[in-house]
Amino acid sequence: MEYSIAIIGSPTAILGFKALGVTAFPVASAEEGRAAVEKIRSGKYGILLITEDWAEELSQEINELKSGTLPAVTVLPSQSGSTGAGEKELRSIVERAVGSDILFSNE
Amino acid sequence: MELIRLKSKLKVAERGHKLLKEKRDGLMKEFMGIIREARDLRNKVEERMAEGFRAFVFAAADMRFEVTEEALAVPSRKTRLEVDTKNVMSVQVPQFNYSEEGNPVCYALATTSSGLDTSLNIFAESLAEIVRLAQIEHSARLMAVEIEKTRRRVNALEYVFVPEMRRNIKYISNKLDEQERSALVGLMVMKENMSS
Repeated sequence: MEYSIAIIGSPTAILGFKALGVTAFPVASAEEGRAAVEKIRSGKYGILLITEDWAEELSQEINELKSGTLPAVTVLPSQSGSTGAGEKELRSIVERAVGSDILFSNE
Repeated sequence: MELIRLKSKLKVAERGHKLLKEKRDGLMKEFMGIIREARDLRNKVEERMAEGFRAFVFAAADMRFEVTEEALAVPSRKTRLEVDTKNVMSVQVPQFNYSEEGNPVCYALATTSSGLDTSLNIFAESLAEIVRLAQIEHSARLMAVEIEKTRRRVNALEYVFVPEMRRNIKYISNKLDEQERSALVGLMVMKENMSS
Protein backbone atom coordinates (compact mmCIF):
# COMPACT_ATOMS: atom_id res chain seq x y z
CA MET A 1 0.00 0.00 0.00
CA GLU A 2 1.19 3.47 -0.72
CA TYR A 3 0.48 6.36 1.52
CA SER A 4 1.56 9.95 1.63
CA ILE A 5 2.71 12.25 4.37
CA ALA A 6 0.65 15.21 5.50
CA ILE A 7 1.69 18.24 7.48
CA ILE A 8 -0.45 20.76 9.32
CA GLY A 9 0.87 24.10 10.42
CA SER A 10 0.89 27.79 9.72
CA PRO A 11 1.47 28.64 6.05
CA THR A 12 4.82 30.32 6.50
CA ALA A 13 6.31 27.40 8.35
CA ILE A 14 5.22 24.40 6.39
CA LEU A 15 5.49 25.57 2.81
CA GLY A 16 9.02 24.28 2.80
CA PHE A 17 7.81 20.76 3.25
CA LYS A 18 5.70 21.06 0.20
CA ALA A 19 8.81 21.12 -1.90
CA LEU A 20 9.72 17.73 -0.48
CA GLY A 21 6.57 16.09 -1.73
CA VAL A 22 4.75 16.26 1.56
CA THR A 23 1.11 17.23 1.29
CA ALA A 24 0.82 20.54 3.10
CA PHE A 25 -2.33 21.72 4.82
CA PRO A 26 -1.69 25.34 5.67
CA VAL A 27 -4.15 26.43 8.33
CA ALA A 28 -4.81 29.86 9.74
CA SER A 29 -7.78 29.19 12.01
CA ALA A 30 -9.10 26.38 14.16
CA GLU A 31 -11.91 25.91 11.68
CA GLU A 32 -9.51 25.27 8.85
CA GLY A 33 -7.53 22.98 11.08
CA ARG A 34 -10.55 20.85 11.80
CA ALA A 35 -11.35 20.63 8.11
CA ALA A 36 -7.78 19.56 7.40
CA VAL A 37 -7.88 16.87 10.06
CA GLU A 38 -11.14 15.64 8.61
CA LYS A 39 -9.56 15.41 5.19
CA ILE A 40 -6.58 13.55 6.57
CA ARG A 41 -8.76 11.10 8.41
CA SER A 42 -10.52 10.06 5.24
CA GLY A 43 -7.48 10.16 2.97
CA LYS A 44 -4.59 7.84 2.53
CA TYR A 45 -2.08 9.41 4.80
CA GLY A 46 0.44 7.30 6.66
CA ILE A 47 2.01 10.03 8.70
CA LEU A 48 0.61 13.28 9.97
CA LEU A 49 3.11 15.86 11.03
CA ILE A 50 1.82 18.80 12.98
CA THR A 51 3.57 21.78 14.45
CA GLU A 52 3.39 22.24 18.18
CA ASP A 53 1.26 25.37 18.16
CA TRP A 54 -1.43 23.73 16.07
CA ALA A 55 -1.24 20.43 17.88
CA GLU A 56 -2.31 22.30 20.97
CA GLU A 57 -5.08 24.11 19.15
CA LEU A 58 -6.48 20.93 17.64
CA SER A 59 -5.68 18.60 20.51
CA GLN A 60 -9.15 17.11 20.61
CA GLU A 61 -9.19 16.12 16.95
CA ILE A 62 -5.61 14.91 17.07
CA ASN A 63 -6.20 12.70 20.07
CA GLU A 64 -8.89 10.87 18.17
CA LEU A 65 -6.48 10.16 15.36
CA LYS A 66 -3.80 8.96 17.71
CA SER A 67 -5.64 5.88 18.86
CA GLY A 68 -5.83 4.34 15.41
CA THR A 69 -3.14 2.36 13.65
CA LEU A 70 -2.79 4.97 10.92
CA PRO A 71 -1.94 7.74 10.50
CA ALA A 72 0.94 8.05 12.90
CA VAL A 73 0.79 11.50 14.42
CA THR A 74 4.04 13.24 15.22
CA VAL A 75 4.45 16.65 16.74
CA LEU A 76 7.18 18.87 15.36
CA PRO A 77 8.52 22.04 16.92
CA SER A 78 7.18 25.17 15.27
CA GLN A 79 9.19 28.03 13.87
CA SER A 80 9.33 29.66 17.30
CA GLY A 81 11.29 26.74 18.68
CA SER A 82 10.51 23.72 20.75
CA THR A 83 8.26 24.09 23.74
CA GLY A 84 8.85 20.55 24.93
CA ALA A 85 5.41 19.35 23.90
CA GLY A 86 6.87 16.38 22.07
CA GLU A 87 8.84 15.31 25.07
CA LYS A 88 5.83 15.76 27.30
CA GLU A 89 3.92 13.46 25.01
CA LEU A 90 6.61 10.80 25.25
CA ARG A 91 6.57 11.15 28.99
CA SER A 92 2.83 10.61 29.15
CA ILE A 93 3.22 7.49 27.00
CA VAL A 94 5.79 6.12 29.40
CA GLU A 95 3.67 6.95 32.38
CA ARG A 96 0.76 5.17 30.84
CA ALA A 97 2.71 2.02 30.15
CA VAL A 98 4.87 1.77 33.21
CA GLY A 99 2.82 3.62 35.78
CA SER A 100 5.51 6.10 36.62
CA ASP A 101 7.93 8.31 34.82
CA ILE A 102 11.16 6.36 34.69
CA LEU A 103 12.80 7.92 31.68
CA PHE A 104 12.93 11.61 32.33
CA SER A 105 12.87 11.70 36.08
CA ASN A 106 16.62 11.83 36.40
CA GLU A 107 17.00 14.85 34.17
CA MET B 1 -20.20 -31.14 39.40
CA GLU B 2 -19.74 -27.48 40.06
CA LEU B 3 -16.54 -28.27 41.89
CA ILE B 4 -15.07 -30.05 38.88
CA ARG B 5 -16.09 -27.19 36.64
CA LEU B 6 -14.57 -24.62 38.95
CA LYS B 7 -11.36 -26.55 39.25
CA SER B 8 -10.85 -26.70 35.52
CA LYS B 9 -11.74 -23.02 35.27
CA LEU B 10 -9.14 -22.17 37.86
CA LYS B 11 -6.56 -24.09 35.90
CA VAL B 12 -7.40 -22.14 32.75
CA ALA B 13 -7.31 -18.85 34.62
CA GLU B 14 -3.95 -19.61 36.09
CA ARG B 15 -2.53 -20.55 32.75
CA GLY B 16 -4.00 -17.41 31.21
CA HIS B 17 -2.51 -15.37 33.97
CA LYS B 18 0.90 -16.81 33.36
CA LEU B 19 0.66 -16.21 29.62
CA LEU B 20 -0.54 -12.65 30.05
CA LYS B 21 2.23 -11.97 32.48
CA GLU B 22 4.71 -13.16 29.93
CA LYS B 23 3.08 -11.00 27.29
CA ARG B 24 3.30 -7.99 29.55
CA ASP B 25 6.94 -8.58 30.28
CA GLY B 26 7.70 -9.10 26.61
CA LEU B 27 5.89 -5.93 25.62
CA MET B 28 7.62 -4.04 28.37
CA LYS B 29 11.02 -5.13 27.18
CA GLU B 30 10.23 -4.11 23.62
CA PHE B 31 8.69 -0.87 24.81
CA MET B 32 11.67 0.22 26.84
CA GLY B 33 13.97 -0.19 23.87
CA ILE B 34 11.63 1.75 21.63
CA ILE B 35 11.00 4.58 24.03
CA ARG B 36 14.71 5.17 24.59
CA GLU B 37 15.27 5.36 20.88
CA ALA B 38 12.28 7.65 20.47
CA ARG B 39 13.60 10.04 23.07
CA ASP B 40 17.03 10.31 21.51
CA LEU B 41 15.63 10.65 18.03
CA ARG B 42 13.14 13.25 19.12
CA ASN B 43 15.81 15.38 20.67
CA LYS B 44 17.81 15.20 17.49
CA VAL B 45 14.87 15.95 15.23
CA GLU B 46 13.67 18.82 17.37
CA GLU B 47 17.02 20.49 17.18
CA ARG B 48 17.24 20.12 13.44
CA MET B 49 13.67 21.19 12.87
CA ALA B 50 13.91 24.30 14.98
CA GLU B 51 16.95 25.25 12.95
CA GLY B 52 15.23 24.44 9.66
CA PHE B 53 12.06 26.29 10.49
CA ARG B 54 13.96 29.32 11.61
CA ALA B 55 15.96 29.36 8.40
CA PHE B 56 12.81 28.91 6.39
CA VAL B 57 10.89 31.67 8.11
CA PHE B 58 13.78 34.07 7.64
CA ALA B 59 14.09 33.08 4.01
CA ALA B 60 10.39 33.50 3.50
CA ALA B 61 10.54 36.89 5.10
CA ASP B 62 13.06 37.95 2.49
CA MET B 63 10.56 37.36 -0.25
CA ARG B 64 6.96 38.22 -0.69
CA PHE B 65 4.60 35.49 0.42
CA GLU B 66 3.22 35.08 -3.08
CA VAL B 67 6.69 34.53 -4.46
CA THR B 68 7.41 31.86 -1.89
CA GLU B 69 4.16 30.18 -2.57
CA GLU B 70 4.73 30.29 -6.26
CA ALA B 71 8.27 28.98 -5.97
CA LEU B 72 7.10 25.98 -4.02
CA ALA B 73 3.83 25.46 -5.84
CA VAL B 74 4.95 22.62 -8.05
CA PRO B 75 7.18 20.27 -6.11
CA SER B 76 9.61 18.32 -8.24
CA ARG B 77 10.45 15.91 -5.49
CA LYS B 78 8.29 12.95 -4.82
CA THR B 79 8.09 11.02 -1.61
CA ARG B 80 6.69 7.58 -1.46
CA LEU B 81 5.64 5.96 1.73
CA GLU B 82 4.95 2.30 1.97
CA VAL B 83 3.36 0.98 5.08
CA ASP B 84 3.66 -2.50 6.45
CA THR B 85 2.39 -3.63 9.77
CA LYS B 86 4.51 -5.64 12.10
CA ASN B 87 3.01 -7.78 14.77
CA VAL B 88 4.64 -7.28 18.14
CA MET B 89 2.90 -9.43 20.74
CA SER B 90 -0.42 -9.01 18.94
CA VAL B 91 -0.04 -5.25 18.65
CA GLN B 92 -0.18 -4.07 15.07
CA VAL B 93 2.72 -1.70 14.72
CA PRO B 94 3.24 0.25 11.50
CA GLN B 95 6.48 -0.02 9.60
CA PHE B 96 7.11 2.85 7.24
CA ASN B 97 9.18 2.36 4.19
CA TYR B 98 10.04 5.67 2.78
CA SER B 99 11.67 6.63 -0.46
CA GLU B 100 12.20 9.91 -2.23
CA GLU B 101 13.25 10.97 -5.66
CA GLY B 102 14.00 14.24 -7.36
CA ASN B 103 15.65 17.40 -6.23
CA PRO B 104 13.93 19.57 -3.63
CA VAL B 105 15.04 22.73 -5.41
CA CYS B 106 12.21 23.21 -7.85
CA TYR B 107 12.23 26.95 -8.32
CA ALA B 108 14.13 29.66 -10.09
CA LEU B 109 17.20 30.60 -8.15
CA ALA B 110 16.99 34.21 -9.32
CA THR B 111 13.78 35.12 -7.54
CA THR B 112 14.38 33.31 -4.30
CA SER B 113 16.72 33.92 -1.44
CA SER B 114 19.54 31.54 -0.68
CA GLY B 115 18.14 30.94 2.77
CA LEU B 116 15.40 28.96 1.13
CA ASP B 117 17.92 26.47 -0.22
CA THR B 118 19.51 26.07 3.18
CA SER B 119 16.26 25.45 4.96
CA LEU B 120 15.01 23.07 2.30
CA ASN B 121 18.18 21.06 2.57
CA ILE B 122 17.73 20.80 6.30
CA PHE B 123 14.14 19.69 5.84
CA ALA B 124 15.11 17.15 3.21
CA GLU B 125 17.82 15.70 5.39
CA SER B 126 15.68 15.42 8.43
CA LEU B 127 12.60 14.04 6.69
CA ALA B 128 13.89 10.48 6.82
CA GLU B 129 14.52 10.90 10.51
CA ILE B 130 11.09 12.36 10.99
CA VAL B 131 9.50 9.39 9.30
CA ARG B 132 11.47 7.09 11.55
CA LEU B 133 10.46 9.11 14.58
CA ALA B 134 6.83 8.94 13.54
CA GLN B 135 7.06 5.20 13.30
CA ILE B 136 8.77 4.74 16.63
CA GLU B 137 6.57 7.15 18.49
CA HIS B 138 3.43 5.69 17.12
CA SER B 139 4.59 2.19 17.94
CA ALA B 140 5.35 3.31 21.46
CA ARG B 141 1.93 4.86 21.76
CA LEU B 142 0.10 1.78 20.55
CA MET B 143 2.19 -0.45 22.75
CA ALA B 144 1.57 1.70 25.78
CA VAL B 145 -2.15 1.22 25.33
CA GLU B 146 -1.69 -2.51 24.96
CA ILE B 147 0.59 -2.74 27.98
CA GLU B 148 -1.94 -0.89 30.06
CA LYS B 149 -4.67 -3.27 28.98
CA THR B 150 -2.58 -6.34 29.57
CA ARG B 151 -1.51 -5.13 32.96
CA ARG B 152 -5.11 -4.60 33.96
CA ARG B 153 -5.96 -8.10 32.85
CA VAL B 154 -3.05 -9.59 34.72
CA ASN B 155 -4.01 -7.75 37.87
CA ALA B 156 -7.67 -8.64 37.54
CA LEU B 157 -6.79 -12.30 37.19
CA GLU B 158 -4.21 -12.25 39.93
CA TYR B 159 -6.06 -10.30 42.59
CA VAL B 160 -9.73 -10.86 41.85
CA PHE B 161 -10.51 -13.81 39.69
CA VAL B 162 -8.11 -16.44 40.97
CA PRO B 163 -8.60 -15.75 44.71
CA GLU B 164 -12.34 -15.78 44.28
CA MET B 165 -12.17 -19.06 42.46
CA ARG B 166 -9.97 -20.51 45.18
CA ARG B 167 -12.45 -19.35 47.79
CA ASN B 168 -15.36 -20.93 45.98
CA ILE B 169 -13.55 -24.20 45.54
CA LYS B 170 -12.63 -24.26 49.20
CA TYR B 171 -16.19 -23.48 50.20
CA ILE B 172 -17.63 -26.24 48.06
CA SER B 173 -15.13 -28.86 49.16
CA ASN B 174 -15.71 -27.89 52.80
CA LYS B 175 -19.40 -28.23 52.25
CA LEU B 176 -18.97 -31.60 50.60
CA ASP B 177 -16.72 -32.84 53.41
CA GLU B 178 -19.28 -31.66 55.90
CA GLN B 179 -22.02 -33.52 54.06
CA GLU B 180 -19.95 -36.65 53.96
CA ARG B 181 -19.29 -36.46 57.67
CA SER B 182 -22.90 -35.90 58.53
CA ALA B 183 -23.94 -38.83 56.33
CA LEU B 184 -21.35 -40.99 58.04
CA VAL B 185 -22.52 -39.94 61.47
CA GLY B 186 -26.10 -40.64 60.41
CA LEU B 187 -25.13 -44.13 59.37
CA MET B 188 -23.27 -44.76 62.60
CA VAL B 189 -26.22 -43.59 64.63
CA MET B 190 -28.51 -45.87 62.68
CA LYS B 191 -26.20 -48.81 63.15
CA GLU B 192 -26.03 -48.13 66.89
CA ASN B 193 -29.81 -48.02 67.14
CA MET B 194 -30.21 -51.23 65.20
CA SER B 195 -27.70 -53.20 67.28
CA SER B 196 -29.07 -52.13 70.64
